[in-house]
Amino acid sequence: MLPDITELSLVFLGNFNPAIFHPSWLELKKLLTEDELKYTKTEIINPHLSKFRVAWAEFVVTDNRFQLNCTDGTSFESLRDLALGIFAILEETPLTAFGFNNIHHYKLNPEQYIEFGNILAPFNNWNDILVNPKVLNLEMIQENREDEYKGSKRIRISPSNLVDPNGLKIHINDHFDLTDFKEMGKKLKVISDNWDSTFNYTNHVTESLLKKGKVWK
Amino acid sequence: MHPNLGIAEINLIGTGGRYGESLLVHLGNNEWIVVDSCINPRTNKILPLELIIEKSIKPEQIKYVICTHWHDDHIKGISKIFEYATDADFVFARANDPKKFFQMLGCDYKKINYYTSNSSTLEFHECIGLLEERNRQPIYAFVDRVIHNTSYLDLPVEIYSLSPSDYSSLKFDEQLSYLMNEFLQSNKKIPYVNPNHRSVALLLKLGQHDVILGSDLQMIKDDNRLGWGHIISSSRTFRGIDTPNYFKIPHHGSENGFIPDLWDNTLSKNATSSMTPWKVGKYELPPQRMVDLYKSYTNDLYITSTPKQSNKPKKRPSKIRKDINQFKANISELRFNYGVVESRIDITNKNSEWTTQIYGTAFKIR
Amino acid sequence: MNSEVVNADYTDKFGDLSQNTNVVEIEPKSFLAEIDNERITTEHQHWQEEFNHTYNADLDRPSENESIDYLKNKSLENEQEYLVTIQKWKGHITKLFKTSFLAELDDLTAGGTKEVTEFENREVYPSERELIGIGAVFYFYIAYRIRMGTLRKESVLKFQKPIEWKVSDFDDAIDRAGRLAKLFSEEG
Repeated sequence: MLPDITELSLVFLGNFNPAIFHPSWLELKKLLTEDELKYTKTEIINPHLSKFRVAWAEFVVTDNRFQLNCTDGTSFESLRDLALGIFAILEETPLTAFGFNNIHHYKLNPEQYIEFGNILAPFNNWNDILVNPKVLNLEMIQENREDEYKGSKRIRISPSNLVDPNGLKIHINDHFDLTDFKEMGKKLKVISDNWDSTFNYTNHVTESLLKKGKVWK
Repeated sequence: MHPNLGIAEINLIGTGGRYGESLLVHLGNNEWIVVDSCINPRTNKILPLELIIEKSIKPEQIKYVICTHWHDDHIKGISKIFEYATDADFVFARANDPKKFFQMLGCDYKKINYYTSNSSTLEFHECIGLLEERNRQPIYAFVDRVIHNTSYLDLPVEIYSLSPSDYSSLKFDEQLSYLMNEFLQSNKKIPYVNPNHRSVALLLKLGQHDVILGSDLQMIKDDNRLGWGHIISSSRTFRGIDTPNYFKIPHHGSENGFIPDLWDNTLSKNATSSMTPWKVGKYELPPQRMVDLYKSYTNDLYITSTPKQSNKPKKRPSKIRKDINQFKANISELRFNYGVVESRIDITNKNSEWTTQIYGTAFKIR
Repeated sequence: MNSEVVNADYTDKFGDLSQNTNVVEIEPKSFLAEIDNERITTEHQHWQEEFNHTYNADLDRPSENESIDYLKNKSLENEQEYLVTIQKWKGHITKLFKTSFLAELDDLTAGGTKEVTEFENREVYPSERELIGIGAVFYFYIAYRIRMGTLRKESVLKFQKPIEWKVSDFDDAIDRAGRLAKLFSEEG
């Protein structure tokens, strides 16, 4: 079952200098082409915050957070290559953590929308303390990864801000602690090595939840 | 089933198209060699390794892992086999300038730092890494090189490489420079360059019987300094061959893999012969006219799967198939057809003949 | 769990911003590398509206000033477009023709066997046509595009960009090659 909208955010934690991240720097370093930078929209660039959008990617950089957002599914690989390319150049950047954030939005019918919440957090358990309870947000965490890496996994279910009415948003955060890796090459390898598995995991999560929620077709 | 000590066994593993081929050979006396590797693209399982496990071959029983190519397409999974075979020697074709060759491997490997890999030599690179770890020398294959020389019950058990020639190694140097300039910096995948004059062809002396494993080596038109022309004209080892009765036909039975001299004057009549097919675009190997030609030389001819491959698309859910058809109706699948030709012979008995069993999609042509 | 809350009195952090046209308050919620729960405010109403149209930073919690219904009723009337991949491949060019090329494709959606097909050069963005060459790596997608309330199916072909090698990359490879050549002397 295809989602109605997909989003991807790559989030790095560490120490950054937001002022250096601007479109002309990306062009200088040949990370993006002139064509891709034609549609740049800069919202703010200062020493503590840099926020701009290029053709298919949005940059949001603060002192301790570097975030690349994309809603174009045909540019997710380009987003990854861009992130890897940036930190291959800025190899001295102290990165401490990285997260894949896959977000899927699904349009449901009104009955499914309510029932989905009921299946995940049965209303029966709330009827004695709330009148006509409904699920608003649900967040689950796996505190340790089952693979060889340190990190965690989080799944957040909430109403979609992009699909309405009756839009369901499933946000999967796949988090890696990079503090054990000293060289940038090894940190970046964590990202490239886990690229396929994070998408497979996302598909597995959404299929599992939507089947349990009796929405899957 | 594991063969007896005095029984040689040759397993030719084919995948039908673009997933490689491999040989698993019992030399006798519980000594095995692996030549190249291939995978099942659906499961990523390494086919020769699966066979090794199935036949209960212990790691220390594998004596050589032989790489007849350096390109990933032909040796997928070989690093895992070499990892398993903790006592094995690693054999590959000599380069005139080994430093340049290792530079190419190193630069190709560096691509992994930047992107999900577009490396084409990852497997070879991993094997070199294992050699380094084990502090073990590789064995360089070249014409008339003795790779293995033992005996069983006073009968010779020997392996010789028949290629590459000195001139081929020289040509490879030039090729390396071209490959490094053209493909490394640009993050392109390195293609495997044809014609193939560098692939390692092997002669096996198994007791009373000689075997030629032709690999992908080709006849190079009008140049006896390369390929099979060099072997026929210049190899001392080849001159000393005693009518081989098993021949793994080179280069998927192509015209360039046909060596008239070998068939007319060297191989025994009705030598057991095997090959794997290949598909390049619309061109399929072996072509029918070559199959007919081989049939005229032997009545014991096997292939691991049919060379005839339809151009049908891959099976997918109908909705996705329809969506793809809107944009790319001509997309066709490179089929995976797993076939094994298993041939055995008593190495102590000169009058013994090869007996062959076929598995999967393999069949006897004649 | 560490969280750093920047006081709404942001002059402490950013100094006197009276001259700035864009002002941002940041309130990181979690040290985890996940989508931010930041709420972004600004002096300029039009900037905030535009920002919220293009990307709602507060992805999971409705802002205190907005009701759930308002969020739910927010529709895709903005300039943002979305592409949802139906099928994707990674390909590399194996043969060149005059105006087209043959490529081998790895199925990134379902895995398994490879595929081959021919592409016309005009299926490639004009600015990327110089990247067409043997071995060149690209991604090929079939996707739905959602824009301005309309849905359309498309195919997209994008080449991977060439790597900008660093001198140290070559140095590393050359150094190691020298060591290996010495280690694996001819008499192996």
